[in-house]
Amino acid sequence: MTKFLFKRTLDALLTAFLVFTFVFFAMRLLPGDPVVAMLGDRAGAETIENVRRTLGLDQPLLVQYGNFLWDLLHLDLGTSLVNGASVSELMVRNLPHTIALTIASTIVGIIVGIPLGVVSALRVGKATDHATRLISLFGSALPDFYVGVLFLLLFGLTLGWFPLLGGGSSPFDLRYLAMPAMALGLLKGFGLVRLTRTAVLEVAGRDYVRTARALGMPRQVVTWNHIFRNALIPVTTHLSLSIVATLGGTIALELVFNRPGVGQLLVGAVTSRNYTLIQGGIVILSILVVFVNFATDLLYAVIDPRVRVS
Amino acid sequence: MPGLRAGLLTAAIAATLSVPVSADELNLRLGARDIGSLDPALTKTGDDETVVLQIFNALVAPPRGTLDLTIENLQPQLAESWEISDDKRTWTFHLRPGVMWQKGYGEVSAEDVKFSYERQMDPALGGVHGASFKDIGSIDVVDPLTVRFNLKQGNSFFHGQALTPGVGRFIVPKRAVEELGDRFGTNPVGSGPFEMVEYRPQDGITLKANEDYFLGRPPMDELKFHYIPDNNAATIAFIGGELDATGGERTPEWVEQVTQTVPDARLISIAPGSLQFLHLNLTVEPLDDLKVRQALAYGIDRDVWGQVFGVLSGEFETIVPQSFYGAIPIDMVPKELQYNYDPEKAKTLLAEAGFPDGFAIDAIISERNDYLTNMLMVQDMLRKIGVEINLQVQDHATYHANIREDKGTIVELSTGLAPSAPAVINEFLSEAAAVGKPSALRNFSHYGAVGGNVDDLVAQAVAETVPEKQLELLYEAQLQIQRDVPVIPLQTAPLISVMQGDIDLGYEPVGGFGQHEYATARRTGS
Repeated sequence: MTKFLFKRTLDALLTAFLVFTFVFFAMRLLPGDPVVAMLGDRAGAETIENVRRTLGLDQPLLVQYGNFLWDLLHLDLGTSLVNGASVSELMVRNLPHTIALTIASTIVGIIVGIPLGVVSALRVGKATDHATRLISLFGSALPDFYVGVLFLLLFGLTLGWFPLLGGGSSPFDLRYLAMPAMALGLLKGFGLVRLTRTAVLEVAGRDYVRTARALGMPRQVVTWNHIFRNALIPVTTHLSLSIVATLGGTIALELVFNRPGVGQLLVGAVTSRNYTLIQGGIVILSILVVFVNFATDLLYAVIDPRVRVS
Repeated sequence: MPGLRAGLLTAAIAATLSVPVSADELNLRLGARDIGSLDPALTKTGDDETVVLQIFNALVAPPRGTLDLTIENLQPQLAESWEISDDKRTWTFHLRPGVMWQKGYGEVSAEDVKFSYERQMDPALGGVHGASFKDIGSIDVVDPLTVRFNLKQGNSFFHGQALTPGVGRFIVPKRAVEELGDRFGTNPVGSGPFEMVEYRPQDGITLKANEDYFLGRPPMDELKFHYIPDNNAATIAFIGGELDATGGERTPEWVEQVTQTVPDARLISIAPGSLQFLHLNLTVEPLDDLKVRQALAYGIDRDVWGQVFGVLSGEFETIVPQSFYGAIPIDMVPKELQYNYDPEKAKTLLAEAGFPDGFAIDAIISERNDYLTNMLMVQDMLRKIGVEINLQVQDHATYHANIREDKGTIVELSTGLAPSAPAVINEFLSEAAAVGKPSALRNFSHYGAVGGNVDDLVAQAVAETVPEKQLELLYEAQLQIQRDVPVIPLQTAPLISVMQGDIDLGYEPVGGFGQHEYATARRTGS
């Protein structure tokens, strides 16, 4: 297990390093000038040059990259090119909002998706199965921003159940978290229904399940101990990927619900070519993503001991 | 009964979850994602300036809600009186006694005024307002409440350029700026009606009433500014009553939607707003040919903008909008220089220039709605006279970087500006402002540098102290620009916002850069 952990940690660190190195150079290959974007269209040429020099953006690319790595070694992510705010502080402030939304929407997704998927599989070919599949297929096809706006109009504006603006005083403030979490969770749930159904059906058709049934094991025991537990592996993989996607990909919903989060932060940073913020954001996000993958690997090992052996 | 139960449950949830809106606060939208800087010397966006306007004062101001820069109409702010020498080189201001800085930083003094300007004239500061103060030779502190500006040459527009609110002309406390350093940008200390209480990155800013404001405590206790980049989110929040004022999409459809959904909402239109025009790059063939430029001007039907944009469109006939000081009255422009839509004449001119079948030209353009829509309309119109514009659409940051690097051919700009003829001409058409020069501003046509030049006329006008002569010189400069056609005006786009019907600003906003002052704002229902 120690060797397993060590190898996974090393892989994780290498992956994170490659990701932010790629981002560092990719950002600078993009057209557009962070200083022009930051100063707006009123600035004169001299001012633009002055600011570029002050920010060290006039240095050769490799020197800039060296400085970036040096700062990173000292756990310094630098300051935002736009307003001088500390990148670490911005991330520390916004990340909890994204994590809260990720956790809450995943919970909603699990609550909606897994039971429906299991029911659909256990009643395969029946009306319940058809209805569930149809609804989940339709639901998965809806774009997230569209569902977000619908929720906002229905639960926020028409029914007045939830506030329309912002992220609340804390990331886990339910008044502000509920609507985006439900919207995103429902979409995740729809995806999970189909996956769970397929996984359950696939496991249910295996020899050992048939053997267990032939040996006269109670139906519930077969369903939960033999089918459900094994079907969880692909479901866990899917959930892990979905968490990773949510961490960096809640941009549309953060915009619709005006919720501060990493997605909003990074989209703004790309628009203004805010190199330091993008770099810092990607460093933290890639470490998080690597951590989630790492945790998923561990979870596999817990669910299926064969993973540890291999 | 189940219906009743559901109703009660709904009411209970609503009561628990909804956010009460206080009668003594205003919830206002900022369209940016975050603060840039609230140090008036370092502001770069209209949103930052909206906040700064509530916290700081300038020496003098135009009548509230206007950009009327007639010198006789100047209103006192921190200065209670002033003397201007006949040659317009020496401007002396007497400050009101007893005006106090917020947060215990003492009395506003002439030393603070001197400091506020001198730091912006230092290029190392990294501000973008320095050009407004280039005429200042020196600033004398005559006594603790008297300050004197000595200009390098006479300037009849100095008040409009450097003294009234906006773009860096606010007075800051020397001691606070020195003590707070970089933190002044998020912890501003001013002398204005509201003072900073809280800044939540990417979320919002809260200001509270300055109890000791020298013009009287504002009626509202708090101003809450919310950063909301998405127009849909802001519109829904406005319709739901969580926002008291917001801008939105600059389309007639948005205006109609929001005013119909909230019938008592007040539509506020501030003119002239953004100037939208085309720069024709005189260094690019065939735009270097006057006949080609004239043909393009004749090939664009400016009336269409009014039909398409309705309330969001204003007339723009020469490079200086008619409402700006020093604009040449349109009836003084000879008919042949007005370039009224005439596609046949355009084709004739193209043929005379050697392009009987027209020509094709590449042009870059920003994806931003106001830029792209205009350019698509231009593209469509010019196609009818045989000119094909091959558009390359780029994101806004890329477009601006590229036009700064002189990669533009037909360059579109949409921008606000100080409302005077010299400001417009100096910024866009003076030789020194041409792209590529160290002093470059926004002269993307290279007018003055490679052809035509009105710099002397404008310089003479600025130094001229007799208003009639001054106007004559400015008119002559504008006629010359009409003859040379380095730019084609399209329209002005008023800044439109909506405000809940129960808010009275205390004045009627009609002109300016789109920011409202909330010093006298109150709810009429409370």
